[in-house]
Amino acid sequence: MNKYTLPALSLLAIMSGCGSSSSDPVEEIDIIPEVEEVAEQGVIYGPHGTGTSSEPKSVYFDLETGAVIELTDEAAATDSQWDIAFNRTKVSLNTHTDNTVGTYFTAINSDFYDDAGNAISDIFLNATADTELDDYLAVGVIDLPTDDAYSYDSEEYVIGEKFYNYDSTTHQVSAADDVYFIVSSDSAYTKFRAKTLTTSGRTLATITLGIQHQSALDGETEFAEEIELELDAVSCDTGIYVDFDLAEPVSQDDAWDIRLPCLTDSGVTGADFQIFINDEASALVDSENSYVGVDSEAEQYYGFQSNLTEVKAFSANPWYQYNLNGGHLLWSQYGVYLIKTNTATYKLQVTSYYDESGTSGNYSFRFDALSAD
Amino acid sequence: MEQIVVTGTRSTMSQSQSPVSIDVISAAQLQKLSHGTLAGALNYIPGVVAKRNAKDGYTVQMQGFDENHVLVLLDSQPLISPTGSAVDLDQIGVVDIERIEVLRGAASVLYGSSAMGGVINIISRKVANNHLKVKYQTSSYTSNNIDSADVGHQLQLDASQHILGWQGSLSLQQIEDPGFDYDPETVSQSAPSTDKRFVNLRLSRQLQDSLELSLKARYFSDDKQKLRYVIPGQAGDIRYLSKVEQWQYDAGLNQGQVWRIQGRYLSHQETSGDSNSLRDADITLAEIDSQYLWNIAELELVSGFVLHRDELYQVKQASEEGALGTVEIDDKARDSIEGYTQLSWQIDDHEVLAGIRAQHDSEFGWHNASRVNALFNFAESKQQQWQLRMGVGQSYRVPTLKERFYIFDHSNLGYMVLGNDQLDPETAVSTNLEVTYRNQLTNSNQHLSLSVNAHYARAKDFIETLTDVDASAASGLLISRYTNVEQAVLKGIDLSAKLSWGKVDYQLSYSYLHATDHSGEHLSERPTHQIKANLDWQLPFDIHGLVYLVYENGSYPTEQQVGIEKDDWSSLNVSLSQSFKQNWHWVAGVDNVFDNHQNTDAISAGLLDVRPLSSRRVFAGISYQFY
Repeated sequence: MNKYTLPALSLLAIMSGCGSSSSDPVEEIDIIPEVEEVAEQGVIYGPHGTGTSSEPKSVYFDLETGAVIELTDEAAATDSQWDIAFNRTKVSLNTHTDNTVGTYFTAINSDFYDDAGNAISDIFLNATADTELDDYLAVGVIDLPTDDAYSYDSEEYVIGEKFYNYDSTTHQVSAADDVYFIVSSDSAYTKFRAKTLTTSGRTLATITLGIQHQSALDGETEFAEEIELELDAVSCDTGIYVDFDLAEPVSQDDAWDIRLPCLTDSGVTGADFQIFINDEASALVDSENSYVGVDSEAEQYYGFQSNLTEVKAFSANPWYQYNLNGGHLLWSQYGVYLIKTNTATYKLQVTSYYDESGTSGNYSFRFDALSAD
Repeated sequence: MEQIVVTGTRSTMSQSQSPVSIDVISAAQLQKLSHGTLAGALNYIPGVVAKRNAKDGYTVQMQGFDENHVLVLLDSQPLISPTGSAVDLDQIGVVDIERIEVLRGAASVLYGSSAMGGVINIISRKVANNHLKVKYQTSSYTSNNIDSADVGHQLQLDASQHILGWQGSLSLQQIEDPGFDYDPETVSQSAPSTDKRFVNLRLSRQLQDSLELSLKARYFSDDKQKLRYVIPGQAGDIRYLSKVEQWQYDAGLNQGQVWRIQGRYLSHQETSGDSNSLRDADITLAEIDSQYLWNIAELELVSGFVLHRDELYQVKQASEEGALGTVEIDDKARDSIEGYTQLSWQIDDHEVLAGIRAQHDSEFGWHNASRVNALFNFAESKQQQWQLRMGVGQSYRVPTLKERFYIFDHSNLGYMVLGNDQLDPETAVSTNLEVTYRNQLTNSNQHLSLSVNAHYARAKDFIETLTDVDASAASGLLISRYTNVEQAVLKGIDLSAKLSWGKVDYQLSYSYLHATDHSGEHLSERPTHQIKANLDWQLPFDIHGLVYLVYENGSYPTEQQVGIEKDDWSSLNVSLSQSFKQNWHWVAGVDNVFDNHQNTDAISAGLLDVRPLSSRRVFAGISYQFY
């Protein structure tokens, strides 16, 4: 283990002899060197258990104190003290306004992957916390990126505003007719896109959707031919609702699949530039228009998401690789993440997902502060 | 000497006159072929495909049906099946076995669930002279030894004594096997170390009016262990562990062949799995089986009544000490009442039999099966004989408690496997046609036997795990559920030739299988071609030599496998044995002479490699019979 030892400071010995005769004995004071504590980097914290498969729980960790903070998920949502949280394989960063935590992946262990991005099993299987310590120690202040390089946990709508383009020069809005969305709802899949749209003031006046329907219930395995559905939002009242099974607008009490909320701006009423899906539905963006249908048995693997999705900054560079030797185990790729909190920037390296008995969900990691803000 | 068999009709008859074709392994053959358990010994039988499963147990396939569709019986009653429906043959000791009868084809009418591809009926020894015998055998995996000094040990004690009108038998057996490893450079161990113990106690007594009472107790324990992985990021390792304890109690009363009633209670406790995710299973089987046999002129009617109960409790151990585990099967049970009757009609040298079975199950209600078989004898002369056996029969397998009630929660990895209490039994209709030619050649110790057996089966409602789309969508997980989905057509042909020529017995067999699912895709992990060749030679000085070769090829990969590493394999096994000075007997040999075994790297990479997890094994044993 490497140690960074700061110079020891010594106290001077003070001899005092005021008002005393020469016969007075000289008071001797022991010289006591005061040594500042050794700052040791790379200490491993944990393992911290995140529950079981059937009953997962979150571990909220405060990097400043180096301790777990016992919080319920509800309390954690309004707590600014914790910095990073672990829940099984998921890593979260605090999004509280008083402590919005960001991360930057240093990618120091890119040699764990080949040029095609595939994990190199031998390297993963032979890596240990000790062998990867030097790489961790090598990350220093000099590696700190600019503030805009950090990523933060966020939320986004699965469709939201992705159906239109905005030209910031002309301030014109147009339909993003090459962006397709697939909605899974009511045992059916519907691929749709915005083909055209018109605006009125700052609201959406009309929008024409191109809809391709696939009823898995009827055994269909591919989308049907595209049909058009024009929606008039000028008289928007409670919102514009569409049922893809009927391919027509319906009321909010019906079995709708997508919704455009109403918007009144400067006395003009129309629809807002947002598309939401029903809470019972899920959707994905098919930006390459690559799917001709959805295999219902493999739906799990398409990546369908609910209307509002948490986007974890750690997910862009997962800390683990799964199932390298057929044992359903998770290996750290020992990458170093920079974690920027409201008080400092830290480097962090996950070393293990297991306790000493091999129980999964037990995080061990090392972290050290790089600089105080 | 002509063997006596019972499995085809539930009544004793000579092997050659059984209307249903039966193969037999005698106790003497078993001692030469086995290393203390039935694992691997059945590979000797033509058409039987022996498999080593993921839990390092041994099962068999027959006529294209996998291990879950082959019924293993001990004295015509079922045993515990720790993994699904398949009995682990490595959990059955060989010391007090009289013979093993192997019936190929459907037999649900007489034996109920799982008798779809065939039945293996292990017949324990019932009558024995007073004797006391001990045997010690040692073995080595040679170049695959984990430690170069590793040797396996097997100790057997076999005693039988008549005392005060009772016949008592006691057998003890201990097997210590160090396991083996192909690559000492890797952490993972290829085969586990095992420590097995068997105790069998039998008491029987002839009462008045040819009544016989028999009581049996059987104990079995098994302790397996093998290194699997280093824990990522930790200093420790993960091991596969399996601890099994099994108790069996049998009680039976019979009056000759006329009637009998026998009960069995089996209790099986098992803790197994990787050391970081162990499961406790508590399995119970209870059965009462009664049977009555009527003989009226040329007619023989056998009818029986069976009460059966299965119980299963399984819990995944908690990772924290003192915490409750996750119940995966919550103390579930099933009961069945079964009745069968079979009429056999002897017409001159020919025999026709027809039978039916009805079963009421506590979970899915009524189910039934029926069959018709016939044996035609055509004797050209006293020495030459042709036989034609034909049969059509229904068979079924009731869903196991695991398939009905399992909750396997891996939601942290994004998936779950769930049971389905709405499952129906799997069913099949099978036909078998066999022609046999026997010829006693120039003198009494020269025999030739040729047989051709064609089989065809249509099966439906095979249970597989299938994605539950609605449950997956609702949970955000990949939910797989046991479902009746798969259909299959299994057809094939078995050719067999046996020649006894003086002091040499030759046997050569070939089996062809074509097994496809509903879409015409080949069923995976079944050999298309299998060749077995045996040579049993009586050498000078009363030494017996046994050589047998197994060759298989033409297996198809599963959907999960990404390619083929090797789809054929062979194994050559040789042994010598000799009895000397009346009381002494020795045996020595080599299994898998050329050390053909799977490539574990290829298996890890998701490739099909049909070569078994096996090793060359050199063994030598000696036994002494005190009296």
